[in-house]
Amino acid sequence: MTTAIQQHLDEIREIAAEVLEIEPEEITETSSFAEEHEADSLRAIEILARIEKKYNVEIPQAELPKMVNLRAVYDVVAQHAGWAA
Amino acid sequence: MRRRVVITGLGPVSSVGIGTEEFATALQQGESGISPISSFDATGFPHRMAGEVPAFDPKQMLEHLDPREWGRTSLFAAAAARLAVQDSGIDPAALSRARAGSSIGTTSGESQVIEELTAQWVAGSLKDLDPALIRATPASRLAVAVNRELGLTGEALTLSTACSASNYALGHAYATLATGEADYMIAGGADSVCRWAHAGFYRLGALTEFVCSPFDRDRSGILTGEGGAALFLEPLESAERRGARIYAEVLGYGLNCDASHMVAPDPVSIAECMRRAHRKAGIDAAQVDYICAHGTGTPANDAMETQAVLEVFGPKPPPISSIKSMLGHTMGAASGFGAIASALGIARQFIPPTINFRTPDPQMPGIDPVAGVARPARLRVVQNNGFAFGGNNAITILGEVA
Amino acid sequence: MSTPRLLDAGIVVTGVGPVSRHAIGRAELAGVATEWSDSPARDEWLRPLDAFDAARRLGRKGWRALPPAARYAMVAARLAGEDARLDADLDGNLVGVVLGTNFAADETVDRFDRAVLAEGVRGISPLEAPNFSINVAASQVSVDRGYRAFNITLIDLFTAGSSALWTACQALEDGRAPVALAGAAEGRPPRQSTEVLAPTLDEGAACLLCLETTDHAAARAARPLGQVRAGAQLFVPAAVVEAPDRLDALTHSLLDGAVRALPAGLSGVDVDVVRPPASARAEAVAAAAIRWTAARTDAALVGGPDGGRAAAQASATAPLRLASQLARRTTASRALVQVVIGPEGHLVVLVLSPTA
Repeated sequence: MTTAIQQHLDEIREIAAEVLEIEPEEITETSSFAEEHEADSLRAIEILARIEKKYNVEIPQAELPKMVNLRAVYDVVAQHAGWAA
Repeated sequence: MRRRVVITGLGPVSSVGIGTEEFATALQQGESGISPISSFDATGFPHRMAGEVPAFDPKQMLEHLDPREWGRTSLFAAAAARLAVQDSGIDPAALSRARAGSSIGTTSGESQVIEELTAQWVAGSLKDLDPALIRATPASRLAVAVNRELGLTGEALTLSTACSASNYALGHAYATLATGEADYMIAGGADSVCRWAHAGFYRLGALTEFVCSPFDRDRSGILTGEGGAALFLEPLESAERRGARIYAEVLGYGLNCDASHMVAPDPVSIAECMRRAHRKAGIDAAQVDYICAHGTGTPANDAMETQAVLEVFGPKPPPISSIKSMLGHTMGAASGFGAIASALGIARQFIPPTINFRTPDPQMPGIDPVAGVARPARLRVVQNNGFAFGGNNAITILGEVA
Repeated sequence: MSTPRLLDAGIVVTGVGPVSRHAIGRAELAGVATEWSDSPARDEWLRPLDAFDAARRLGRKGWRALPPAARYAMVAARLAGEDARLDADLDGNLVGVVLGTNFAADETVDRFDRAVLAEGVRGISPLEAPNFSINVAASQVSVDRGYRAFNITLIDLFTAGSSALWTACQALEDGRAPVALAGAAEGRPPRQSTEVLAPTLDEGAACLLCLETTDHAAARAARPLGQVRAGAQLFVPAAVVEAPDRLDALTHSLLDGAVRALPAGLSGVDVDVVRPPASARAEAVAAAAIRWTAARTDAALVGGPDGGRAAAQASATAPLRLASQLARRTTASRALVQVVIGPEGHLVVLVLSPTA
């Protein structure tokens, strides 16, 4: 994995941890926000909003259902922010 | 011995009409009160429509309050109360000598005053703030405005249980009269369209762009609205004694709280609230002829509300319509307008419509939203739903005087 | 005019949950002697609530996105429940919540509005967005405790907490639930509130009382701190305030009616006249209540010859004073009448007797 990807993942992990009120280490790339970290729809929108602000991207709310774990969030953001895969 | 309580005066100050006649006509014809926002500069906002009341002229409607000393929401409340008293035909001087009070609901209080103060603050500094505006800020001035306008010495209670606040206010007024603590009560609610509430709902993903279409498959959210709704209540005996026109009887009300989530409605809890309301009103679900829905037009609310209705009423529930399709979501005034619409429906034998309804939602089978225009019907019992942020559910039951 | 409502169903206070800069919890409150008269501090208008540690009281998560008033209310509710020894498994359908507040949302609204002006809707955090609704404090008490019977928020600058107590009594008497937590919670007030309340205000406070029907309290062998016998709320118009004889006629008949609900055999009545120091209007109404007290040989004012003015905790002030007297009461033979007077004309009366 390139360092750029790792850095983005870490940043998003940090955001998600803050919104979900847990430690960043508790979030793995595939741990489910809803089932393992008690995320509700509002916290999901909050994660999306903070990411939009941080990276200055626009992510449609229609993408929310896809953003179920860290990896999935990264993929959605990467697509909209134009990060090279 | 509890006294029976009836509604003998209505005071709607709404985007589709001011006063009983205008409001009733608009309900029957299914008029829309939605227009481009003018209360604040909405340039740059993603969504720019709302249900404002540009025709509201407090100077013309109020007899005692000086509009310069009060915020828009208080003026809505006081003007609506004045209208309701006029509509009831009671002598205002006798009213102010009687045991009479008010209970008024709101979500955002004097939101426009707060907004104006912020703008002044941002533009200047603390010392530039207009002292008249500062005095007009407290939201508790809503009921105070009503009592001052009408010279009432009974309680002046401002309830702020968000978007079901008017139903709490109506229930409270009913209980106060039923137990004999007061002899006349004004109940209702008021709110104003404002920048921060509009932005807040947008941020929650709850705001639609142009059209509010409750119960439609393609519904996509609320439009914010404003206005003042007031009902004049008195014991049945007093209404009969003075030969007053009676719109409807308040049969009872049910309250509960989801106690689970600030913004996600809980259908099991809402169903329980409906059952409580029926029990308190001494009726069965089968007696309800029409449900005046909370019906905000968000995908979640309408789905959850429908689910609760189907659970309580079975697969063939009575007609259920949302006047928010016409008014937008008037927040603390919403269930007050619902109560006025219900009382008018009972008195004039029609069911208010849901406008903007095109496509039934296959997820909500058996729902009859009374699409487009009002439908003639004799309504013996009506259920008026109010739900709110925080899972604060309040449902009032109105009926024909039997 | 108004007449007090005398309660048929017995309603008792079985616990108190104070959260203020003076005291958190009943034990601390009982230890504080005469704190409820405000001594204005000239150099500060806002006093911090340093002793409150949300993480210690509420645990690691679930409260960080909530405004301070909601946090205080949640802690006050937990404390009141513990003080009343409410069963942790008590069915939430049996418990209602009524809360007075003014400033639960002010800080949030102010911040949102500035953010919207500065950067548009993106300035608002979705997670915090529901906090612009002032019922967030009462709602979060229900969410935290699972109390589902009813959930009501009232606003009035000074009397809302007392209105909330009375509204809870009405709901219990109406059979809506056997238990209610009621009182007030306040967040940071806007500075202009000093003009109508007091020169120095607290950053926040909350106080909830556990109210219960006597049957419910007896069935679980609770130890009541007092029994609510009557109450009333009304609005005193300016014209009446300016005419002392009319004012006396109104308030004295109201108080006479209210104490009629007291049982025979009590040795006297303590009268707590609670009003903000910054309001001349409230002071005039207070004077009428003090005259009523002076005219009765069996009545005594709480808090010194003029009763002491206090408003630093806004609508939580009166419930805190009530809780403090209930927590400290030693003689079981005197009644307590609390007369709470707001700057706009609101007047709330609560009448309590000791329990046998």
